[in-house]
Amino acid sequence: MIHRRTFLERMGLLGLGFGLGRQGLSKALAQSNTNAPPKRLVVISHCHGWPYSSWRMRPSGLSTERPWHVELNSISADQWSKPLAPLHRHRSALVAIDGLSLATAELDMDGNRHDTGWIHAWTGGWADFSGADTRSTTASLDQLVARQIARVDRLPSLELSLDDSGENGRPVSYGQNGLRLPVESDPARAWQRLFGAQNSRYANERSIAETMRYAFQEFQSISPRLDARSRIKLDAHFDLLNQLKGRLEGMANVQCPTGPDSPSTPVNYDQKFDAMSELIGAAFACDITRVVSLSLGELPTRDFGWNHLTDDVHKGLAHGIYDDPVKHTAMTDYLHHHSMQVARLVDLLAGLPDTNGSG
Amino acid sequence: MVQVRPTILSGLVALISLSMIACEDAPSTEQELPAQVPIDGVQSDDALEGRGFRALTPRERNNTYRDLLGLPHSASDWPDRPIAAARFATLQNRAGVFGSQVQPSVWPWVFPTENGVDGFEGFVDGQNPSAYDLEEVQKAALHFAGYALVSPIFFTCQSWQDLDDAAKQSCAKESIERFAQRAWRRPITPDEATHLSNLWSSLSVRHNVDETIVLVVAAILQSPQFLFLVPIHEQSQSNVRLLGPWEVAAQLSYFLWDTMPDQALFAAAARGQLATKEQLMDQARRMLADPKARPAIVHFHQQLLHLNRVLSVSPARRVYGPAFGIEPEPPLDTTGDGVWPGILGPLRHSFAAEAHLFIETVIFDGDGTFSSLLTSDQGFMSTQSAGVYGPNVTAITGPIKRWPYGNVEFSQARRRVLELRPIRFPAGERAGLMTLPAILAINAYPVHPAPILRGKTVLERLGCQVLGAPIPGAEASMPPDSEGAELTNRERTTLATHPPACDACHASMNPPGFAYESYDSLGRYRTQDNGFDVDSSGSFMLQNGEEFTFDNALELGQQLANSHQVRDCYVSRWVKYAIGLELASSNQGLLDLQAAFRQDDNIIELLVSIVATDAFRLTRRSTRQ
Repeated sequence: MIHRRTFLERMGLLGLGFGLGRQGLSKALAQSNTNAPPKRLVVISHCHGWPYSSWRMRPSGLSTERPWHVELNSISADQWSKPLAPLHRHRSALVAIDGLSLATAELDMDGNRHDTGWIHAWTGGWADFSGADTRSTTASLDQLVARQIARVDRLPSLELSLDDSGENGRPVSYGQNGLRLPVESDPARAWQRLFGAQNSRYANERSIAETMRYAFQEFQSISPRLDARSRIKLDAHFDLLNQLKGRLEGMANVQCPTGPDSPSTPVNYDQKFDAMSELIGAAFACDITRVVSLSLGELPTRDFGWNHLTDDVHKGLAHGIYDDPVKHTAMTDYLHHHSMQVARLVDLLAGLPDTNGSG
Repeated sequence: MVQVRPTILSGLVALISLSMIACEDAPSTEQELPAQVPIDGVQSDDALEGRGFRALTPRERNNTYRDLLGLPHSASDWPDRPIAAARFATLQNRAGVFGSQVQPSVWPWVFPTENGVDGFEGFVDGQNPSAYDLEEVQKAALHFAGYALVSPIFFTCQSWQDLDDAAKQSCAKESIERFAQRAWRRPITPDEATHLSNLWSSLSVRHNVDETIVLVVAAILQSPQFLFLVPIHEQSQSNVRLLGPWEVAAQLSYFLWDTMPDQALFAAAARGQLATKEQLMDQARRMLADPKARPAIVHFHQQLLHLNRVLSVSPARRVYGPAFGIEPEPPLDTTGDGVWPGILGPLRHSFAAEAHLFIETVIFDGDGTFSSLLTSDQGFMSTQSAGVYGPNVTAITGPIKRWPYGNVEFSQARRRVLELRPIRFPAGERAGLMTLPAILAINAYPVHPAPILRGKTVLERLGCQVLGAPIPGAEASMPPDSEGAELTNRERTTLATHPPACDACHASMNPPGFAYESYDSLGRYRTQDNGFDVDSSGSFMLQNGEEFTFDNALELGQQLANSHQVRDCYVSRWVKYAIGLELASSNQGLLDLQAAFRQDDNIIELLVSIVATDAFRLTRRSTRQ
């Protein structure tokens, strides 16, 4: 583990996620040593807080008051905490930050604290409750990174969710205007977005691009007639349309030997996670996008063995960890299960070929 | 004032052409108004800030594609997409379970949902352009453009396929101009006509006439004039003005139909017959009698009460499974526990259908009153939901409604149809919208009902009461949602919320929620909770001082139906939905509408009255950055 200040320094160089390439994680680490900028970013967020005391790994003698740094390699496997244990095999590429708190969120007292915490965590900005829809006052981390590393001819970012509720889990990605971005929770539709253009091979790109150019010109002709606020809104649409044109042309020319088949409809949470993981890996390998956010929706209690107690992780378990040791244990298992999923994703990413990626 | 291009339409399709033929002679109804003049109670200053220039919602886009092309409401009745169109975009089969292929529906297109404002679509502040949305708009444009070739109303000429090339060229250009006028909901300008002509010329070099039509139509469907409700007169120097006739026509149709104007509305705009209140009210009455109004008006209520969430309610199998004849705990397997999803899926869809039909029937087939919305004892029930309503329902005469839906059962995607028959709820058990299983199940946890959520829904959504956020730590002290919990759900909730810091809100929030303690998480009527008699009595006060005292949800429903604050809230929500912004509570126009609704209680007349207000037709330039 490293001191969080050190982490933040590195983050500016390394990125928060796993920079993966031809040689996988070892290469990502090597990049950290060369101060190379991040090439890929995956932000994975699950729905709930966690039982800190079962998560932390604090070898004896370490202060709770002062910064410290411990190499994860120096902690034996049996000493790893249960929530982090599945990631032990990736310890060489792992940075765990102990001691972060959402102090600013605690100061931001307006509105629902769940929303506030989420927005502070992913945007570093204050929540905006002035509208009925909770917003951020700044863009989220993934979008800031996407602005720096995205290719203009590919998807700037991909927002995924494993939540079918219609609310698409807790939002991770907020645009420049502070509004949350729409997410895709259906693997088949996500596949269509990533690989549809490549597979359908628009035979008439030039003509299709011309229809978009026409629309672009109409936007230009209308814009001067609008008031300032409407023009800003139109221009945002207009910029996206222009980017889309370039992106469609670029996406149709993607050379992607590892493009997967459209996924089958997953029938449980783990299958859906793995389907999304495969899409993320393939998108990175083919350089279709470089930034992904994945919001993990409600994990069924059955999947981590606690359905005999409740069906509701949020209210039935997560809210009870402070005064109920049984629920504390259950949430530890919950984290363990999510860590297993993340470890599988990292396995997958580490084994993927790199196409003009992180090198 | 927009310049109008002399029409070139031949009149072969007189009905469709009618509105556009007349547009050149349309009288100007634009009225510029002094900046500070109050109009029918609407002040000109900040009252209308933020109005205008909204995009069509995903739902509106889909309805407009369908109506622009004159295609049926049921996608299964759509004609095949022509081969010429497949060259540009095809709907790709998706992999279904176990490798089977699932053919996506040709309509509606699945767009990303809007962020929305307060649960409602169609507000400027809730619309955030994203790369994802733009991609889908572009794909949808190419997809639907292909149907122009098989649309029964696209061509201005007859026997398209039999024409020679020269005649096809001529007819195609005319057809495209007319299509653009309808897509943009107004006459096109000379510049716009030139742009279209240039596009046609450029594309026709590389494509035959059929392909060129598809591409030009796709371009129109990506244009801002189609995607946005573009103000027509924004060059006006005045800050405040009344909407012009074409703008009014669009505003009417998207308010009452969720789709584009029909020919009668276009014709009225062209003839300048959307200028007086009487003309607007006549149009509104005509439109509300049209079948297109039904889903649109129901959709308002679905947004009001978050009814889309019913498709993801998850009552616990171990509690509710036995009621459907299955074991409480399934063995772990790899099939995704198909038994319970196979029961829940149809049940969720049935709940959604029952709520939809209840609202539609009350407003359009019943007496149309707000009171009936909250107190009617007649509804619909399917075989799948019969166990929720219990054995004491009474069948009543009326048509059985068929309700198609899709669901994954035993890992297989299936399309099925529910049959919903009209029923009378058992006396004393259930009456009104708020006692429908859909509403009750949404506001419930997997095991126990959620009186706080139910009370919050009553106060916030029906009463427009503003509730603060829970105090820090409040949610962590909520009662457990497990079968082994002690006491009754009401008692546990009361204990959890009794600290003074909580009580400020919960004193008014809990009682209306407790009124629905007679319904479990699935919405079944119950008299016992954890072995104790259910207590659904209570009393509370709304912010306007109205007091409510009741023994059960039916009594509460009666009192809510007659409450001034609740009726006023319903009116103000409709007004906000209609004009895209919230009027101040002191606004005289709003007060007049509320006063009238308190008296006549008629929802259709309320909508007609909203259309007749100046607020409905007023717009101003925004100076806000």
